[in-house]
Amino acid sequence: MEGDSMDVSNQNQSIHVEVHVKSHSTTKRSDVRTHVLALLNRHCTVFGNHKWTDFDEDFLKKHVESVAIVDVEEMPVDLKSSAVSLHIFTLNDDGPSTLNLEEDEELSAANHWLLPAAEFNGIWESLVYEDGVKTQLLDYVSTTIYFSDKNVDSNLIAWNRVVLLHGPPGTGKTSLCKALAQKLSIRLSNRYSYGQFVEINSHSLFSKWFSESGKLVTKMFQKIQQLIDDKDALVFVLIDEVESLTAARNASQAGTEPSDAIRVVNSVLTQLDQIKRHPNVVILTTSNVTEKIDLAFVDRADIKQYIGPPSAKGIYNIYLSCLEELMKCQIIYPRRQLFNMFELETMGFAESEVSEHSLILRNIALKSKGLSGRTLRKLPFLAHALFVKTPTVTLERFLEAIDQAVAKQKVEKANFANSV
Amino acid sequence: MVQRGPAEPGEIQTMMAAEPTTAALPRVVSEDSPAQKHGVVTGEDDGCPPSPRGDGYPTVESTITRKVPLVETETNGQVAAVPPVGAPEPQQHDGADKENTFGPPSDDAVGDDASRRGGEAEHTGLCDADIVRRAHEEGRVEVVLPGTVTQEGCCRFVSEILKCILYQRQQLPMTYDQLVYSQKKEHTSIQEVVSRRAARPTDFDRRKCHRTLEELEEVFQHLELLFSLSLVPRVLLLLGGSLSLPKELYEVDMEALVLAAGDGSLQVSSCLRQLFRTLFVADLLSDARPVRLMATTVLVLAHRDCGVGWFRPKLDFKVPTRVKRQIIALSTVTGISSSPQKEASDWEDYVWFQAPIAIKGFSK
Repeated sequence: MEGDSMDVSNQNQSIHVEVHVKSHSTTKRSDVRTHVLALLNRHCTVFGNHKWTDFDEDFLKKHVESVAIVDVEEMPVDLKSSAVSLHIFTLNDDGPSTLNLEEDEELSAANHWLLPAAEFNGIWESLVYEDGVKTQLLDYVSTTIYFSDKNVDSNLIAWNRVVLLHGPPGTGKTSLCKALAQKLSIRLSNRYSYGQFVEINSHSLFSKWFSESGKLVTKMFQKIQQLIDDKDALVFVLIDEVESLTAARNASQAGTEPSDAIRVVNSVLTQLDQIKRHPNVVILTTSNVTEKIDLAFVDRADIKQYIGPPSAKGIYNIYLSCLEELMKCQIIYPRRQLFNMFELETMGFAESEVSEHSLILRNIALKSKGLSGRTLRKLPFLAHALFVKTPTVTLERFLEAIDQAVAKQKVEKANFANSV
Repeated sequence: MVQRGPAEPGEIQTMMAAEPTTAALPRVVSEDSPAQKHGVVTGEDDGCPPSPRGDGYPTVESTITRKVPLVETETNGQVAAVPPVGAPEPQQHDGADKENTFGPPSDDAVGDDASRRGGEAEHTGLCDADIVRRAHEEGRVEVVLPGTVTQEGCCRFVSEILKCILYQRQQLPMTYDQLVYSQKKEHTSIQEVVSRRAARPTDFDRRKCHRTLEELEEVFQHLELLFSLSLVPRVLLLLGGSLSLPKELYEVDMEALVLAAGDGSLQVSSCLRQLFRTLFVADLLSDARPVRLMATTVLVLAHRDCGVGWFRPKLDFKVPTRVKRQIIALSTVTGISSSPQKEASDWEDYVWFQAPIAIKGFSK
């Protein structure tokens, strides 16, 4: 136990290997561990993040979906000399279950996933941010749990277990919350046997009865308390668009907000203070309109991370992953080699036959600056729909189509701004 | 808010009475007794044509009908000292007693058998009062069978318990067997009347019913397969909520059953009779509160290498501890030697398997 939590806090020194065991496998975890260690022994040096999905060995073929070395810097890693921590997990493929506050209420107050969930698989890798945003968040939660394990007196050193992600729409705040929860439930599988993810539908906490809304919030947190009481579970609570629950109270002094809304804010704040005593809970919140959030809530958030639109490098990586997927599905055919940003940089962006496509893509990425992550992810789809119109297409033609789609997107955006 | 209190069972009953063709139902049971549900079920079953499965098994319900009075005579004679268990109890028996006359005579032999078995159960010290007390205080119902059973028998116990729980916990409007029967009948009548108008309001309900029955049938088939592949010491039935925090949790514990091959084993029907008699005496399942529809998940403990494909292994699953667990413990009477006793270490290779479909109930 001690060793595990140390591993978590010393991210940089140790290498994390995530082993995704197939969901129908019934083999013992210890057997998987020995076989994966043997696999890693055969490969001494790996360059950056690496994922094995094809195995020579029958055992691994039968039981293991993938073995991935994750979240390391882009540099050669010597597996022999560094400490390797294995995280073995299977995905829960049943969908969300619902939490109801009142017996006769049909509408669910919260969705509830068992982690690691199949639905959240791959989100973490698909999110591309500025250097460090993802690792910072990971480190924050790891430290939180490490402090709790060490019984640090929370009266002397305070931490609230609240993360607030804010930024323009479409930048993947909600996805990041889900991915973070998934990641941590895998990372800390030695410490907590499973994770719970509760997504609160904040509208369901407002009652049609005057003065009942505050009570509904309390009821909600009581349900969450039930989950937290299981010491084996790591509980993540996601409050999306948190400004609806924690609207600034001073606005109500102007008479624009009903007093019931103030009770909700008060209720949320006191419940958050209650819940932070437990070591196994993390509250994740997101918001688009930070100025509307009550200051008392903002103050409680330990990390207020701004999630902005992606940089050119980020855009390049997003496009790259999209194109790889399309080549995998053989919509773009034949398959061509595309370099990642790091490789391009080491080549000094030198023009050559092999880097030709990558450089075109980089130019498109530079042009697309200012578009949100959500828009970027749907651009290849739009490009195919609007400008390709054939079942299969070459990479050159598709890059042209994306270029056209970007231009169209920019025009649309400008028109939209003008008309408003 | 209006609490739907004791009126609820009555409603169900009227719904059911309206359902099948049993107009001349002998419904002797008084309307407000909690036990009446069983009475009504049994009555209807007797009124219904014989079990639609046609595989020679008596259905659970008919089992109950015939079982209860026989053991009842015993409670009257042999164990007169036992105080009457709760008010509803005798009523149920009265009702069932009269209904018994409707039962097909061919089953009499089996019935006698059961009464003898019932006597054996009394000898092991499980009097009704004890059963009720344990059910309420510990949430545990012990059923001690007087001999060995077959693996297929265990499978039948589990599926009949599942059917019973689904009906008793108001996830199905009628018992499973009645539903199967009425659907078959409907199906044939539809084929007769070709001019079927599309999108009638009942169509949706019928589809829902159809889907639920199909799902259940699938679960039963795969349970049978699993039982043939592996020893199954435990089965969990989770109602509502999530895997880690269900609303209701029922456990069938068969660890202490002594299994044997066909010949010397008890008849499944007589075991079922004893099982359901104990269950109804214990009053384990009849909570008067109305229950909303929820998903029912079946989890089975089986050997890790049994090679079953349909069920999903859940290696990390732990039996939820913060929910009240209702245990139905089946065991064999002491003295019957079993093949080499299972050591605790043997169970290490047994892991939980989850049925990939959750049974969603429906109400009409």
